[in-house]
Amino acid sequence: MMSNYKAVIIGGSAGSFQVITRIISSLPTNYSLPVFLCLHRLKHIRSGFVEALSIKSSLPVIEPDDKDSIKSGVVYLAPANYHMYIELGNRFSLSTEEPVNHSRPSIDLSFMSAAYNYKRKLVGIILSGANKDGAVGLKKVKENGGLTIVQDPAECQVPTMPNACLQIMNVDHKYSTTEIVRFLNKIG
Amino acid sequence: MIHDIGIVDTKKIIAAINDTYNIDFSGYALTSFKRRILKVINENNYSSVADFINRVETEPKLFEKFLSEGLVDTTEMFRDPSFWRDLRDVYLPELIKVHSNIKVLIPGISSADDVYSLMILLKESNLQDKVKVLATSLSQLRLDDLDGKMSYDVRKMENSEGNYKRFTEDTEISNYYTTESNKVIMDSTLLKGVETKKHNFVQDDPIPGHHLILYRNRMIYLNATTQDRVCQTLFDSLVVGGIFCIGSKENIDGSPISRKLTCLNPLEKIYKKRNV
Repeated sequence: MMSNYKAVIIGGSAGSFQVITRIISSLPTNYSLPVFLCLHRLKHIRSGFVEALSIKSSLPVIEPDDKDSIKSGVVYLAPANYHMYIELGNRFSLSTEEPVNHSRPSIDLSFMSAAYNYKRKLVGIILSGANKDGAVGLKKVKENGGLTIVQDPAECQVPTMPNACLQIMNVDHKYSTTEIVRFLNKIG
Repeated sequence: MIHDIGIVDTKKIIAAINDTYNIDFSGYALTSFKRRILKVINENNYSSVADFINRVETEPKLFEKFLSEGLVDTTEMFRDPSFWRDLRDVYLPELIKVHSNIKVLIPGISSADDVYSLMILLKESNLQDKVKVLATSLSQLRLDDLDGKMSYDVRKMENSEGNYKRFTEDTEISNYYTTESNKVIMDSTLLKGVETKKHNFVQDDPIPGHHLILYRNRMIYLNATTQDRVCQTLFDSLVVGGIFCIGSKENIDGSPISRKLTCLNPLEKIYKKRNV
């Protein structure tokens, strides 16, 4: 079906691994949007994460190199110890700028750059996580006209991240994992 | 507090800097460049983009400060310890075997981290006398860091400590610094013999004759076209058989120089200049 959206960006911590795998395993192989994942993870472990996600995913899961082009139907995971930006011209760029909210990759920075580039064509989703990183970024998605979703805190292992969003903004939807899955399948 | 800068304003800033100082930032990656400008504007309480432009144009000292603060404080020491181990155990020994004395280029530094990492590695490998190091930067103030005392926030040191432990278990990185209140002060005698040069690899000519170039996580701040140009200049700064190192998530596969390089290590992104 035709969708109003051009990209999905999801933020969470390594603790939301199971939710993430449920989400990406539910997407069809011909999914029509790129999906960006910005997850807090150990800085010094460069490999393993993308492989673990790939096993569960019907879509290719990639840690982009700097300046890689963005393609639909691919899940992009922010690499360890880099910030991941979405640039104009449909490319990624990476950065080793100082951590934000003690985090590199920072969810705020990825969300802000995606919001700037996709404006109202973006869906931003914040999952379970133990840090307020992501709240300012999700707010930027909303300010740029995009759609904002948080995982229902009642369902979260660690609800700090979605709660931080709910405190500073009017989030469009508070969804369970099942509802997130249903929604993503409807739009792409 | 300014929260965002639009493209039009960013272009105005780039044009003003280029007109006044002949330094062209138009080839820089937009998101990180905008972030750096915002940081400088907000940390110095400039009231607007126009205010910032006006001050930069009329106050060269302030522009030097912008160059110093605005360049990304890129990294920690021994980022990617496996890279530094491979350099120590494989690639430096191979170079030394062939050349006996080698020249290393560290272009476009924005902090002294890589320089300190290399100098510690050389000291521990007893190679200080055989290796000459040249560090370049756009910013004279950043180069001055290499002459005086380099100090770190203690918190920032934690990353470097963790990296160093993965680099070697033989010694402690604390051998190389002293602590004063919340600051870590690096042992500046490590940098004895390191040469510095104010130089802009985006615009200036190559500096030929180098056997090893460490250009890790610098290209990410440039757009794709400018990356290709800088890579060519660096390639021309390298002797045949010389080693070229970039960051683990940087990519030169599409660049014209990739045909003239052999990839020695795809994980750590280590390349060798071929004899063609």
